[in-house]
Amino acid sequence: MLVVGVQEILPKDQLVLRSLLRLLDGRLGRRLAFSESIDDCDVVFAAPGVSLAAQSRRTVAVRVLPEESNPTPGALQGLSIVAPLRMTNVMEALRACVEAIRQAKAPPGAFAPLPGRYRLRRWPDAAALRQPGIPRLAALLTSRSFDLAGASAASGLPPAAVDGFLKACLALGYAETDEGAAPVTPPHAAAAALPGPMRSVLGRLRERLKLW
Amino acid sequence: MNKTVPVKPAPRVAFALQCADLLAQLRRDTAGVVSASIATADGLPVASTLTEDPEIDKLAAISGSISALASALSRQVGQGDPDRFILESASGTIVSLKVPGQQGGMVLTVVTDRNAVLGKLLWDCRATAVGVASSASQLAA
Amino acid sequence: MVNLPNALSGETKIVFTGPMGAGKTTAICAVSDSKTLSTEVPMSDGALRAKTTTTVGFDYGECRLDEAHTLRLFGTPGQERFRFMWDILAQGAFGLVVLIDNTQPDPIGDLQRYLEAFAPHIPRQRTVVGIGRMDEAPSPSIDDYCQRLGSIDPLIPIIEVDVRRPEDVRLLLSVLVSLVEVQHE
Repeated sequence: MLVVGVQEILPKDQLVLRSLLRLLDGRLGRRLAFSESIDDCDVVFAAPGVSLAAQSRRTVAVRVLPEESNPTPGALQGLSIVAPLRMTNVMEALRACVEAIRQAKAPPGAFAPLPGRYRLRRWPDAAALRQPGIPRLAALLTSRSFDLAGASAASGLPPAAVDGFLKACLALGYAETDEGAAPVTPPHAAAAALPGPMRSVLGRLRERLKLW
Repeated sequence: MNKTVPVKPAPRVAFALQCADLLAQLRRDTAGVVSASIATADGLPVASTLTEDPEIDKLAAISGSISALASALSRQVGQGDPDRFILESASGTIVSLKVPGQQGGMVLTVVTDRNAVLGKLLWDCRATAVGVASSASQLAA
Repeated sequence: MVNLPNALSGETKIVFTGPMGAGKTTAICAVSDSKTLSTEVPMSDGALRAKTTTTVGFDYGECRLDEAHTLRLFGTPGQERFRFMWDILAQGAFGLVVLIDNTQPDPIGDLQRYLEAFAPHIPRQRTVVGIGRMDEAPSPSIDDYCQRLGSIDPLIPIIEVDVRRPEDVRLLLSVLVSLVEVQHE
């Protein structure tokens, strides 16, 4: 059961959230419920800048940003969602909350990396792809299989981040193991390395448009 | 006794028929004209002296595109909207004129062989465009 | 064979395509430096929702990367009758962004048509798909798209976006650039 509450968000957003929780109840692999009591909540959708009241249990905050905001990916601390609330972005936020709660419950230092090799069967949702480095990681894992260390080295992301991504993808059915097989080389991967000038152009493109 | 009542065509059909007549006249009276077509500004066929539907449709779409691109070029260099443009090749000439009207107007596209005389061709194309515009304004009225 | 553009000449080109009203013009404007070139004309066969004009040539926008390099963004006309423009515009492009409007009657069919039309010119490994208006029409879902396209290519990125938000256009480009980089590693 995931208990969700609100703190100082607009009444219309609260109404939409409560309706969506009823619709999504049972659809994310667990029951969902709304509570007026913040103390009972696992997840709180809160207005930006509002500090959550002291909790008796660990609570995940999701900041509800105004419609006109234009958050730079990676600039925000923690989870956020841009109004208006709707089915797809609330589902993404709740999935992220579930993952955050799962990671928080793991004992400190208990990072147990995934063994074996993995690849993606499909691309992850937009919410995951908004995190810095994830588009590149997903591109790598859809092109061929990697073990954790290889994916971390190729993507530039720390092993814990890759591990968390893979576990989330495995839970959602987006990833699969590739045990016992040598890395598959798709025909297109035999293409020549990217020419220097093209690599330089792509680097400038990333910088100019602040891609991630 | 049965009396045959002539069926009046719907206004749009009547307009298309008038355009077809004007195009046929242009082709008849102007030396070198191979084909003449009218399309909407967004590339849909109105009338044509061509007979194959796929050819008519494709020419209408290309005419719409190239007319818009010609306008974009002309505006980009500060010369405003062109009234017409001319493409010349070893095989002949293509003239494209804008026909003013509602919803962006229309485009008259005339293809000629090497026998066409440019001055007469432009004069006759202009007259045809005026005729089409007049019919269109009557349709809109 | 992968046809890489001639980067030495400073030409870097991305094509945006998709049905009319899917947001191609909007997406190009979102990342262009200045006013984009437009070849929009009034629609003669009736408006589509609030849209009364349509692109019949192409949209064009630029994003200056440095003194020697410019990213050129081309938007195709949406209607099938302008397919000849798709073939012309796709030449030399290093990537393709397909934008789909999920409120249309057969958005998955639309996507399949555009993927097939551009496959001869731009490889699927350099294609990203953005699905718009899912808040108005949640079905088909992204899962539905992935299942239906499984037979063509299960690994094309299909992402829910709202191209009125610049960060969503940058999301599509982030994925596209990552695809191109990884393809040659």
